[in-house]
Amino acid sequence: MQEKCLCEANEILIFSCAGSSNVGQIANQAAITLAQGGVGRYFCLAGIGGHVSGMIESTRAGKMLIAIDGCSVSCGKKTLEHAGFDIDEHLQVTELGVEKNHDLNFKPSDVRKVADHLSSQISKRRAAPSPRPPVG
Amino acid sequence: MERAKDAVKQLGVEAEVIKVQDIKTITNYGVLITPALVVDGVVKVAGKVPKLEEIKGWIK
Repeated sequence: MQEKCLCEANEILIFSCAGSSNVGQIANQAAITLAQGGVGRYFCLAGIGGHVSGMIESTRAGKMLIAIDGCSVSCGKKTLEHAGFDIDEHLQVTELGVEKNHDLNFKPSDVRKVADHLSSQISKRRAAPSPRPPVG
Repeated sequence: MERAKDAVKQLGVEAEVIKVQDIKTITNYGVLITPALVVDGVVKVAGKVPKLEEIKGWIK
């Protein structure tokens, strides 16, 4: 019998880059939208970069790691990988056709587009084989 | 908690084992998933109960 991913929403950890551009801020707001919608838990990427032991160990306990980056520089993905984590789902906001600029007054519709896309991807993964063995 | 006490006892080290339930104190360690074990200010594990031998390795 094939093992299924039984990830609960609180075991799906969402990290976003929050970079100093429209797409960085869209990434962060999309992560908040997903968390507030009960899709997963919003986690602290800065804590990973800072090697805060509590953040690192809490992340190790997650079953599915989601990284949302604004652009192709992929700081969020690289930060997680540098700390030794494998990312299950990664998205760059620019991949969805949003052009990067430094106007921080982003469009709410772009946030919705990112959140909807990831919500759909996460739903598919929750029905897919488990990405990593259970903790414990 | 009991396993941590057992580890301390078996190693014969002098240590104080405290159970923390205050959410502010927990999050100040950056812990977002419980249970967790902190040794000398460093979070060693979160989200699961560690094995006795693991705990002994952290406090030696």
